[in-house]
Amino acid sequence: MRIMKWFKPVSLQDLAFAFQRLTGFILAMYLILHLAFLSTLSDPLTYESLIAITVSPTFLPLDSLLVLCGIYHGLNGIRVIIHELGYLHEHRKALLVICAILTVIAWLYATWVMYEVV
Amino acid sequence: MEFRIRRFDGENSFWQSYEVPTKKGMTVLECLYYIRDNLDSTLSFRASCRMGICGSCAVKINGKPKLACETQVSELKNPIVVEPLDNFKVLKDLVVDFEGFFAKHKMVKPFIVRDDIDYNSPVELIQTPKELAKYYNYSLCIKCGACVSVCPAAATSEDYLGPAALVAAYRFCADSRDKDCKDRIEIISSERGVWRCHSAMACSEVCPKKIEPAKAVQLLRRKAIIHSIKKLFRW
Repeated sequence: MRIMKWFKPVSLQDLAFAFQRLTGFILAMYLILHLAFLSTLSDPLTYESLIAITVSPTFLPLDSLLVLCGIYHGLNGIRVIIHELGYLHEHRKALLVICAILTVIAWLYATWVMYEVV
Repeated sequence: MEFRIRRFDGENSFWQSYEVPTKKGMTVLECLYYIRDNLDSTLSFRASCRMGICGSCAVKINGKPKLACETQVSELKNPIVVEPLDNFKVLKDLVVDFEGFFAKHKMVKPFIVRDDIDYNSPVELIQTPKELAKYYNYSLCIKCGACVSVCPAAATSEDYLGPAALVAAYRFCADSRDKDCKDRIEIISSERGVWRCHSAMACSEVCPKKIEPAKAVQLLRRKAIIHSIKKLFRW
């Protein structure tokens, strides 16, 4: 399959691109499942029981990974937009590193908040 | 050093190893010549200038596209894995088909377009250093195909013009001597043009001349947008 060539990185930029596609796919799948499930709900009790499952300790790591996908996809998307506007091409490596650092910081903070709330 | 080369005989693809006596200063291209001259005369590869100008010897070395003539063996790990470029049809061993590549290049009109040229009484076309600087970097492209071989858009769409052709398009659109960029913009604005780019920027990472093809594509997008707006208002 030709599409698999998207996931054969030869540089950091390729790797960022591959992750962008992967996280985009995961988020799209999650959104479809989320909307499909919500549309089948008929009473508030079922909704409450679902929420109780998603904030349980066994489910929270998955939620945290989903947040990581969202943060990476968003921040890397902003980085790509900056380049698509024709800026900072010469500093793409530095921008990629900044993006990765911001992703990790935001993810750790979001995970900490999630566990604090629960 | 051991050279592991991915070969293709027209029907089957297979790996073959060769032991090459190397010394400091030897390039991968010199080793390929050594193999062909001393070990296996059936090995096919493309090369010409041997000094990074013609772009003929681009191959994949240890997973990354590089010019064989500019890659020092001493900088590489043993074994050295040599493969033909990706995203091209392999003709034989390390030789790939560049026909489509050059057809796309030709499509973007890689020459200066003017309607006031009189060959009977030629005049000098004056250009300031500032005007030259706008496109000079992009004029260094040697059409080696390394950018196309790593481009994810080129991998999934054969029609896509590719970074090399788009660099050529930008180089001439940014040239102050060129007087008709409209045709070129029409071509690069089509579905096979700049909008196919996924902005992976892999092309800029592997370009042996460091000419930033990804930036050229984005700058062409600006021109394409301005052209579309003008066209919309019949300006």
